[in-house]
Amino acid sequence: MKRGMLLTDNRPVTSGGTSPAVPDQPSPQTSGRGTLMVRELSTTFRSSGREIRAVRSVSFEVHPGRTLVLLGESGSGKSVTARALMRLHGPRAVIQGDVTLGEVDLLGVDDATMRGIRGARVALVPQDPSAALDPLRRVGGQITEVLRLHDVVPDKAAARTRAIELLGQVGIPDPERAFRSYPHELSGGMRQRVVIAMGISCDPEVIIADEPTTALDVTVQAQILDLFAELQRRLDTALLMVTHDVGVAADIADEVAVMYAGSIVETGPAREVLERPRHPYTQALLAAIPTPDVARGELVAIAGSPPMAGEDFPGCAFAGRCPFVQDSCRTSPPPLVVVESGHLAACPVINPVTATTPVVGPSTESTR
Amino acid sequence: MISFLLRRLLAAVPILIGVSIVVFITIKIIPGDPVASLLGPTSTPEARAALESRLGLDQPLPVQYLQWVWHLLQGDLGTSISKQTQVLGLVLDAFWNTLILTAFAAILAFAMGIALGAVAALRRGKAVAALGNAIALISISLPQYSVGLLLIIYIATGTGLLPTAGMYDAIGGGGWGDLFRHIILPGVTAALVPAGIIARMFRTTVIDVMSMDFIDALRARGMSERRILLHAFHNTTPTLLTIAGLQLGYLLGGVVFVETVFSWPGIGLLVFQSIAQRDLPVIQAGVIVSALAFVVINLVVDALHATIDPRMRAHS
Repeated sequence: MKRGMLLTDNRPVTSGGTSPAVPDQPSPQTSGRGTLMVRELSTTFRSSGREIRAVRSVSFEVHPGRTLVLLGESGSGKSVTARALMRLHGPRAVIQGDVTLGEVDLLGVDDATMRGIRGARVALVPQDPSAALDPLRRVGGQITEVLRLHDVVPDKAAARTRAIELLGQVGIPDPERAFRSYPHELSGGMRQRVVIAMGISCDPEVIIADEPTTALDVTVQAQILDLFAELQRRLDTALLMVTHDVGVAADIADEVAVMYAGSIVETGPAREVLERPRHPYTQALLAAIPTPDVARGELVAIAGSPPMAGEDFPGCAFAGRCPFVQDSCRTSPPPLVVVESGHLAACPVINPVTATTPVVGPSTESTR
Repeated sequence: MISFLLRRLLAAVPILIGVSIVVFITIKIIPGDPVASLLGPTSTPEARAALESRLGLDQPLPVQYLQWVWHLLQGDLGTSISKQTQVLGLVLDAFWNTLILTAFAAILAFAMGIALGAVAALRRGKAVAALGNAIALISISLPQYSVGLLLIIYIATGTGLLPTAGMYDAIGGGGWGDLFRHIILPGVTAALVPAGIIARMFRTTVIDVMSMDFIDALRARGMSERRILLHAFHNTTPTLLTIAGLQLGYLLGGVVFVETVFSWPGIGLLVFQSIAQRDLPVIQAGVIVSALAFVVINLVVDALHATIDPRMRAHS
């Protein structure tokens, strides 16, 4: 199915909820699209006898047409989580847990099957678009290579047509010219659009975007986020976005999962979590966002620092920096507590325990 | 692209002028009087003066230099003092032989260097990689003249399989097969050091390229490791070309030793013998031709570089 030119299309874009009903055109396919389910995913790196537990039993789901933002600071394990889903870590990483897309067990299939899934059913939009493109090859050839690799086009000519169409869909003004350009001839924003075009080229069910706007300046960031939102709605893709930027999360997320030291500490609908945070870390994180009326030198920071990589802690990772800390926090890991429907926080101290959930984590299903 | 090449050509002119001045002055500075060595110790002062003026050696240095350059530009490199033949013919014949040896050694050096470097980079932490590194290090550390002599002693005279010297057999020689038998030992001798250097540089390059983000991005797009390697090797070519430019120059210089040890009738042997005989026109011509070859090699490398790497074309 060919899709219309996104940016010349002036259909109303509504936020949240389900895809807008469009009477005059077939709506994006919703059947056959799998949900990305992650259950108790852990990633441990082994290096010279040491074990570094980068991700500690995280669980979440991302449904077609929905956006989950993994929010966390550097080293919180959010990127490691994203890459573990695609099995992109080398042989030194031990990945445990369950990751399924629709019926497919992503951690169980053989390497050849996984290669067929990467780029085709699960696409990665990496952090730095300048570094993600082969500097010696024209942009067009790099896109057609992916199309041909996954057999989504019958021949070279069709690949070319489709690639130019994709470049148009991601809002590149002169797609024919961009097709013939080398990466260094394009601006950072244009390169990120090219990388996004490659990401959506095989119509994936899940797009994993790893800090896709970090390398861009602020105005371009906003454009790229809008592009993600529009594409995702149009293509009915599940979007998992990794970022350290609370603003990005507020802008694009349906659901937010806040990560700290390898664990998800709080999760729920984006507004819920960002407006009524119920975990001390999320609260501190949001309080640290500078506002324009903050005087110079008066930035709020969270006292202390997160645990070092490889450091082991029996209890809550945030205990050392937490204003509400109790003795029990240091001895056993805090369970995720249901705060409200779909809003969970791993802090029984400030949240009265009505029912502890088992390991089931955030799900974008809840608000669907 | 054409303007790029023209600019590079123009930039080569001052280099060649500089080389010609240095060569000219160096030869004037080195001790030894060509006239005395030609005529022998018993010659009369009158005879020496007569020869000096015939060779133009009684003129002031700048005049001698300009005369030499003027003739050089016309393709007249003068007459060999010792052999009494045209220098141009001597030098061109010798240079052709040197080119054959250099080309053979270069192919050997790059084949060995790239293979060792790739193994050392892609099998890091394994025994093969350590072996590759060790071979590279050993081949860098071996001095060419002693390797040449050892090969002559143990391979050529020891087994009798390969000839000890020369380019063709004196009796019943000639043809490609004969040339190949003669070129193996000097070729290997000349190739060892560059092979080791290429191996070490190529290893670093492969490791650098394999750790670049786009390699990871290729993996995330579902490409097989083999296909990723192809992309990676493509991205090593700009560096490989830079290495080639340096190493071809090194080979060209290094064959002076090798040609002397193996009596290979190339430019190195010619210049070496001419130095012993104080045959100044031949020395000058030999060095100038080698410098020219160096400049041409670098020009070709730059042109290839610009063809392969689009960023080069943009920045130059």
